[in-house]
Amino acid sequence: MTTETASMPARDLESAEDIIIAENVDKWFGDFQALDQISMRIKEHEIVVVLGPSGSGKSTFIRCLNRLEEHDSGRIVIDGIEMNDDVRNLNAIRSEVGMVFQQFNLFPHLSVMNNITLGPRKVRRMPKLDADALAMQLLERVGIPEQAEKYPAQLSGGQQQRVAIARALAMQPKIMLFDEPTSALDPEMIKEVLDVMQELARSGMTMIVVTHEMGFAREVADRLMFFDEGSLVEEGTPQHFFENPQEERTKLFLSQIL
Amino acid sequence: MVDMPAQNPQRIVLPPHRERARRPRIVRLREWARRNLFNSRAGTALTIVTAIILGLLIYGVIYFVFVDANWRVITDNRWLLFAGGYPMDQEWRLWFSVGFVFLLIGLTYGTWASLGRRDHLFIVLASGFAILLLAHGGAAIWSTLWYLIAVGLLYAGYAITIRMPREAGPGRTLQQRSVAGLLIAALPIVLIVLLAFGGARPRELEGFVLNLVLAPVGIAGGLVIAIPLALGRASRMKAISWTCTTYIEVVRGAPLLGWLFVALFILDDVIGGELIVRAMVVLAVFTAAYMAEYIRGALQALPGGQSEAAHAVGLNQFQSMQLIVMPQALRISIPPMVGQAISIWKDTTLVTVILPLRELKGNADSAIAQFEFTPDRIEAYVFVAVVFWVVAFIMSRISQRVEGSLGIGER
Amino acid sequence: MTVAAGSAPPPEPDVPLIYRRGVRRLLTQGIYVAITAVVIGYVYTSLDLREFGFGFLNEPAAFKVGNQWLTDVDGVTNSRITMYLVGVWSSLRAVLVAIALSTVLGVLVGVARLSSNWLVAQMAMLYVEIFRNTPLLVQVVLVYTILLIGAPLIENVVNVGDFFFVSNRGMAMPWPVPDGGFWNTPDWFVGVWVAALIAMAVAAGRLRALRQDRERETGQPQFANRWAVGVFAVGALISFFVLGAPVSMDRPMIEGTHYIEGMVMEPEFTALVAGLTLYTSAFIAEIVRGGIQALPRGQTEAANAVGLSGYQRLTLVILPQALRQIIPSVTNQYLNINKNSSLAYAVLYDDLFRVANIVQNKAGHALEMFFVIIVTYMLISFAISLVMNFFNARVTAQRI
Repeated sequence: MTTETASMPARDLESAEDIIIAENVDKWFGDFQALDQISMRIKEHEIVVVLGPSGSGKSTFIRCLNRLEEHDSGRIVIDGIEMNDDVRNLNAIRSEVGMVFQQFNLFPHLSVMNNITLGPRKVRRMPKLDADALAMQLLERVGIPEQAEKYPAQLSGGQQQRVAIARALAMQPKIMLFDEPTSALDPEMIKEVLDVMQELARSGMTMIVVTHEMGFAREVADRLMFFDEGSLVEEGTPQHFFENPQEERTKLFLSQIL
Repeated sequence: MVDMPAQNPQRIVLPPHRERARRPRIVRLREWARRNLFNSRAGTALTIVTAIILGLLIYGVIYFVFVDANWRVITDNRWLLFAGGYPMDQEWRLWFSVGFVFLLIGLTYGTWASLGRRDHLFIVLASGFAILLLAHGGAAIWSTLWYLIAVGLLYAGYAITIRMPREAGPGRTLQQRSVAGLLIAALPIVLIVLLAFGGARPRELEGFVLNLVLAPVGIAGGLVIAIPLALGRASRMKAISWTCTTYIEVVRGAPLLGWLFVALFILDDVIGGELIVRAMVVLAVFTAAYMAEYIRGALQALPGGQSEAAHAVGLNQFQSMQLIVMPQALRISIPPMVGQAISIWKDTTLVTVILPLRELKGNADSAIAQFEFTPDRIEAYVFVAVVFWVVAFIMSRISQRVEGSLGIGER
Repeated sequence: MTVAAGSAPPPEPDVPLIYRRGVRRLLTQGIYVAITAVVIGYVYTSLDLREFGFGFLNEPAAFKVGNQWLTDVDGVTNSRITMYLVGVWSSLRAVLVAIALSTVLGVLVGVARLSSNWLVAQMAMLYVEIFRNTPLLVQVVLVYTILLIGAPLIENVVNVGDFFFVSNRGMAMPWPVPDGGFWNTPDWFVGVWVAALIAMAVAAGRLRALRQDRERETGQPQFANRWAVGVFAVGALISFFVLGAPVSMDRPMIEGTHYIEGMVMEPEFTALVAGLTLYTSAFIAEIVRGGIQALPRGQTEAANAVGLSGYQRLTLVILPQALRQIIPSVTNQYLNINKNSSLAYAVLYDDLFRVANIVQNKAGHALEMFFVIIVTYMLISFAISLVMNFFNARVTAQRI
């Protein structure tokens, strides 16, 4: 089920290990069932784009993957670590999984530099100089090294989101979760963020991306998943999705969004 | 940066407000008066009536201050009002503290704000007021000199810090940290200077000095208790949130006088110690309940994404609170906290009401209890009111300036 | 759907108890409860509770309570709790009057701060800055001192047509009292008239609502307010005479160095209420100003566009909307008035706090007295909140 676009280096997904395993995951908000028996496997280095109308449970699902939400039943295993009541596991998982939010959620009282180095210094106990060097390297990677000493409020939305990506990368995670990373951005800034994400995908990061950017999905994703009303309705390659979707709900959704 | 096309200077047409500013001052003044004072027939009538009332008030105040009042009740009793029972041979300790605090004010302004023309004017006026009080009797010259040195320290501290670069960087961080550290250490330092190594006994703190000690103790102590209290109330653990809520609501249920009643009659059995210490404890405990509510409000105002992001970068609950949530919540809660601080400042007068502690208002009562000053009660209380007003005004001014430079409300 | 092929999931691991989050949480709470229990236990044991009990409140008071109004209790045969309740009644009076006055004054000053008239705005600012930043205690005491020193001695009382008297013993004015009237009815009969008045007020309210509805339907002016007031006034007058004039005005008189009859506003009461009013109105003014300024600018412009006058704009458009933001903060100020009324102690006004102190002086039992005090304040606060929540619910019922 590998799809390789021309720009992608060959990533051997066939022999890769499953890094995320979800089995029969349920999540309730009071009487509302947000997730209904979600099961899936995601391999290391795989790029998965999650689609679905709002309220379909797609955000809830990826928030469950780093325990911002607790699932009510079923199992989630991240890189061999069980997501359960064990306090040690929780911390271990969070430093394996980076997350980028729709609203950036940068820390407004800290400079860009400190936003990025906070995690490495406080959680990984990295010395300040090393953390600063790492942060500069990441800022260069996302293309804004000159903004290091500014505060988030002084940056544009696109720049803020790129800082947020750098902040997540600073923890050197194995998996990156993106929760609608471009939805709060002005149109002219979307591309700069998507470019960074594309570069990240090429580098072999495992990524789960909730987005409405169909171009990104078509070009970068190895696999697409379609959520509706809390369940995983359909999954497959971009080719499968855009040329030959099977389920009625998927067709309807795609016809509305394309 | 907008590129302006090159133009002949004479042909530039200014925007309307700049155009108006070009007219002679008298015309502008007349226009201003027409707009702001005489904009309609009713407006004119209102202005005239207000002006008459204002004139009468000003006349009354001037008549009282310069003709009617006998200020000797203040000047003759200035040591009583200022420090009361504080040992006179230890006066230098008081002045050292005053100088230290003035220096801190200068450092704070220089680091986070700047002194405007109004601030300088205010300092000059307040100094005039202070010297007017000090310059009587035998030690007048010394007191005045001490005071001037303190003001000199204020400006020295300001002059040093205002020249330092404001741009973010290691130097700036160091400067901010050291001034903040001094501010935190200020209270213990002042208390040590006043009380330790042959200084006064706690019960000898009296008069204005007592107000100046009680309020910071109440504020600092209150803040220290308030932070865990606010977190406790917001906690998911029922036992913790329930007890913290009970604490806050019970303390806020009774007036401060009621709690001072507790300090006087009940706390004696529980913690013992000097009455003044018990009063300090009560003041801190009382303030904490109110401050905790302001912090809780700020915690609720903080977007939930902040703690989520903190967890997402791997911080644990405690780190997220300490590094992300609390710094922002405290910053949001600065305005109501300053209000609370001013409130405590005014409430330090209450220790006089049922406790045998003599702060400024209490010693004013002692001053007018002297036979020759019994007719001058109004003067004494007006003086007390003015002194409290000046300090409260300084507090609100400083907080406004610091708030402005911290960029509160601009996220 | 096909699930991606891959290795089977690892078996679910066993979590040792001490690493479970729930267990940790329970443990934390356990430790917390234990510490709290120790602290409470220490406080409990250090208090002298051998004579704890509220029986002492039923013993005869043997002290006097001043500033009574509508009560006449001498403290000789009455119990301490009775005297305390007299104090509560005195507190309530001061609090209610101060709430009413500070609201009126606060709204006035708050609106004046936003006046387009520069002088008025500056005066209002001066008012706020002065009264907000000086201690309430000093304000109360200063007013009291001025009343004592500034007002004439009772020997030189200012007499306004035998109706009003002003001296440093306070201000005396006529006051309605039950009267036998034409038919020599007993005192309680006045209640019938009061009941009649209430019934008529309700009826007038109904009439007003009816007329307003009709005005909305027909578009013809129906003068709802005038009708309501008129009906009530005429009804009140008629019922007054039909019931034989059960009320008469009691004019104050001076006997020796005391006022008798009428209603007397003693300087203690005046000072307390004036202090509370000045102080709190400065805060309310700021709240009102903030509430108005928080409104979108478009509201004023829209009101101007429909051609409302300044007063109409304020009362019909601005204030009703600003109330949403104002009421919660003002409620807080009312609660502050309640608690600050304890400053009565400083001017020797016999409110609940002062009477409680007297009882404690006579009988000890500080802990019990403190319980009584705090419960009373909380009850009054609760009542104030209840009323204000009702208002708030009415204001916010209409969603914008």
